[in-house]
Amino acid sequence: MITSIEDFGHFIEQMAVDAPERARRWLLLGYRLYGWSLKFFPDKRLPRAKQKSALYLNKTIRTVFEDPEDVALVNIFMPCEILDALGIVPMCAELLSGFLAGTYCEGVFAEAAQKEGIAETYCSYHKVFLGTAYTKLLPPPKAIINTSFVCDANNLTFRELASELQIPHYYIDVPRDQSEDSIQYVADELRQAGQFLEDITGKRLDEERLKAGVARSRQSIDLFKQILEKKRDYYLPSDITSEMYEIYLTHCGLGTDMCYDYAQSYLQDFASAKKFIGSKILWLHVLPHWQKPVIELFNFNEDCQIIACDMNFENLVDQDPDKPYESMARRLVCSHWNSGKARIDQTVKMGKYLQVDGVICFCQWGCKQTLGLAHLFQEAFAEEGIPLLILDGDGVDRRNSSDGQVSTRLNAFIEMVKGHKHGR
Amino acid sequence: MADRTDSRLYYVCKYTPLELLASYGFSLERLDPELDGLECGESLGHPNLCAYGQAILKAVEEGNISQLFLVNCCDVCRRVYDILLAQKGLAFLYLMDLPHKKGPAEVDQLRKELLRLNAYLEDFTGQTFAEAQARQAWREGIQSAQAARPKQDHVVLTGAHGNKSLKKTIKGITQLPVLDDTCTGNRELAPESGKAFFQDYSAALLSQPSPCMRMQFSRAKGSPDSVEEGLQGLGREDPQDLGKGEPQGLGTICHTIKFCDYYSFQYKKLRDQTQPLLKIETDCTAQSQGQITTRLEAFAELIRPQGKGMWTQAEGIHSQMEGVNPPTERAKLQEEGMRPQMEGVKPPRREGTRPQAEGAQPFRLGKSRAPQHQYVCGIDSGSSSTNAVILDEGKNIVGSAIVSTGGGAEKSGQQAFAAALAAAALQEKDIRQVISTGYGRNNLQLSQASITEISCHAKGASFLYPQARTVIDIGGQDSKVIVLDTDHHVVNFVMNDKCAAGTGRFLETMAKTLDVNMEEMSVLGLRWKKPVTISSTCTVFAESEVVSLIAQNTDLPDIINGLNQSIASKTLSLVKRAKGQAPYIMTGGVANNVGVVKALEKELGTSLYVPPEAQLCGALGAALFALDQT
Repeated sequence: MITSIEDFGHFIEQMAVDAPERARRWLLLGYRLYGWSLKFFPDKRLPRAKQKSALYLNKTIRTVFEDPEDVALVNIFMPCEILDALGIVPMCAELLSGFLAGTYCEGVFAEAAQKEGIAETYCSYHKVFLGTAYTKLLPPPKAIINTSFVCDANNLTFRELASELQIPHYYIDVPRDQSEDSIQYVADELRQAGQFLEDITGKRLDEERLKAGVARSRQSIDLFKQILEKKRDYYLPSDITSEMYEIYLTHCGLGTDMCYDYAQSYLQDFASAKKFIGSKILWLHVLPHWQKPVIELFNFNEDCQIIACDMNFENLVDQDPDKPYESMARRLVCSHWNSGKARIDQTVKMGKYLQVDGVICFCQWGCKQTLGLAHLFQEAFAEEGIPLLILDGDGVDRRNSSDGQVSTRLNAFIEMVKGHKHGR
Repeated sequence: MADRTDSRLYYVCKYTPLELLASYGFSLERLDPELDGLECGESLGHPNLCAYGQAILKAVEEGNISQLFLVNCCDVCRRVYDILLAQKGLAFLYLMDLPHKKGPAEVDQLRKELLRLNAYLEDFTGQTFAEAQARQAWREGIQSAQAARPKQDHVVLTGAHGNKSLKKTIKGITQLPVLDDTCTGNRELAPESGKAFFQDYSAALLSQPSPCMRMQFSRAKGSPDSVEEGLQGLGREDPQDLGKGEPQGLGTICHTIKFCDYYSFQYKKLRDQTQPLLKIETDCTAQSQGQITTRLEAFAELIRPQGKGMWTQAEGIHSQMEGVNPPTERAKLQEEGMRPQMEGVKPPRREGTRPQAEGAQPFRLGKSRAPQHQYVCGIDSGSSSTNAVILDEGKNIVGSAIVSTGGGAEKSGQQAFAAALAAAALQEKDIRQVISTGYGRNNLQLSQASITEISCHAKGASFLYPQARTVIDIGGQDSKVIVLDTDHHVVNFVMNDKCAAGTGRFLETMAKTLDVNMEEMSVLGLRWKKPVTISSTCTVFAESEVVSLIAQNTDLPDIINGLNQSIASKTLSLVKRAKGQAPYIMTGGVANNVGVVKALEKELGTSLYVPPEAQLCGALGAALFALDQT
């Protein structure tokens, strides 16, 4: 008898290995029902934009199972205006694995990957992503396309998926050097990626549609900059899951109508927002949206809120719709995540701009990209008098994180932040 | 810090432009760190950085390196560069960007990167580029690479970097030469082709026959790499091909380093294509190689050429590993009649063994039980024990209790509360306020509020020892370091990772393995004679190391001292990460272990104040918070 999401997740886990197609159908049914509930009974505590993002992302995840021929597997940093112009829906590890964790069935896929020989210490987002291919829960998509930026997992997961699923793969190398030469190099690769997708889909890439997508990216980026200014001063109810949804929208979704609509609605929601007087937290890296102590502490809490996640402002780079490939390349090459020092400097700058009271650096299991910077982040924020918590955890795999340990660290940190803020 | 008089330039990656660097007069040496422990690397980086990255950090910290050349190989190399750059301790530090593909566009990218490097070198050395010298170094490099190839059948070591000690172990056990085909080995450039130097050199660097796992080959239409789909960036598909037609690779050892992402993927591919194949994982310490000896021996049996002599005497590496069951130190102690004495050992008390820290405030036992008193209670629901403290309004402790948490948080909370009430000769109705802390703090119905153990330990420690600036608390499940300002406010704290290493649980596990009780563990280590290093950061691996030490007849006190050092080392790492400073106070159950305290004092280079009832500190803090609220 299924009476909760946990029960449903357990039900899926039991089927996933031996009857993956059946598991897929049940999972899709579950997501359809959830989409229906989001449409007719949205969470009224959330502002309109956040309600919309839940619906958008529900639709996206369903496409993976309903119409895999319209889907390409990508990494979260892949500029996707080319895909959108060809009517292809991008799916990344962060979204699929995140949804499976939210459905309480990520464990079976992580284990499937480990049984195939993937290291236990590998990033769980990518491990679960791979596990869906190994178990054959994931129907083969049309293509795989990814960048080397920003972590090692991108160099491994996607070629492994291409080999496992036997589907075409294109890889975009992103240099570390933040120069016009590098932008041109990546722009040329993106042009080749367009040709690759034309070949795969048999469709012609409409340059005007691509330019329109980049124009929407520019408009959305402008809106997100205004939203950041509002976040500094005003309070809007939010939850952790919405922050994760925003990561998809500001990356794979950037340039789409849904992202632009989300950004517009978000700014409008702030029109009726009240002044923020609680503790403002800046979150670094992905969020463990399923974890109870994180939910209890931050969801709908006027007293203490995560007002921004650094993944949602790493690519707010100037765009020129007349040069779509160069614009997309610029977002990669000039992202402050492309250099450790730039990432720290820009994040501290944003922390000061947002007037945050504390920072949480989330060290995702297996992600050396962020955890290797944790102490440098701590030192840099300490110089500005802003306390920072280094929180080890896992945004996907419950086995790698303990609620009790996370609760103690988070609550102690918030006690410290409040003491700091109110001068004790 | 670094010795700046050392002119050697250390490098890591096979794509390092050694010939260009040599033309500027650098003496080049591949970095091959081998460590006893990683605590320094952990405190600078993160315990989940790969061991090789941590080893580089430690080698620099120890002053062994003043000039380092890194390549943009992987996340860890990038982060090591960032950390070292921030430290500003190296005379020369450079991170070269390396494309992931090798088509004309990538060759041109690397050419530009090499020109940038060349400009930097000209600026750094004050010299101008000497092309003839670089070309000469190129030719010599090809000759020495060819000379280094095994001239006879060999074993192939592939995967992540393997240090000299590992290769020596493999060679000793297999009695075969080792071809280093790891990510840092088997560097081999193509000869010059007569083009302009930087274009030619860039192509030669990128076209090495044995690419590491980070290198990719795209299948894009028109991509010059599409003709090489067969390789698909998996490194060499079959490393044994290296010697085809010549001396043969008799077997392949795929080496991974904990928290390195790449080589489990290579192993996955090799598994289906290459036989015989052995996968090993190490952490850049000599100790970790001890744990793979048995597997290497079995592998050697598999690949040993016909007619080859027995390898069991080879360099004495695997002596006494199997089939030998020497008496353990424990057995020796029993034989010597020491066991009865051990069982009578009481938990050590600090008062008699060290001077009272200046300013330290011992518990004050209350004298009065007048009904007009206001009493409060703090309960610390920990993973191993549940502790309760009852205070009167004068902050006098009138009762306390320590019970095992075995029966669950609620039950043990009730038991501790009842025992503390009995000790204070009070009834439940006399208690105005109960505040809970610890892991089970939210599951105690009898408490009116809960506060984290960080705040409670800070509060309790400040009360016991007002001068304390750093609290070191090692409990059953976790260890933590809390840094206080002069007003007793928490300014920073760090806790151990999810692993149990460095906690009370770690000691309990090891005590079981060694077949001693916790009281014996506390004092036996003090009798150590020979230093023993337990390097593994994982309790399970450390246990395996201990088993190996027992098998090697290592004396029990030496093993226990090694364990104490291991905890002290991990704790020091936490102290460094938290930027803790003296005066220190130690709390938690492990504070009762004299051996750990001594080891920690040695690591810290100063004395620790251990209050008489260190285990009650969290509960005391909770009670003090309760008193604040009444």
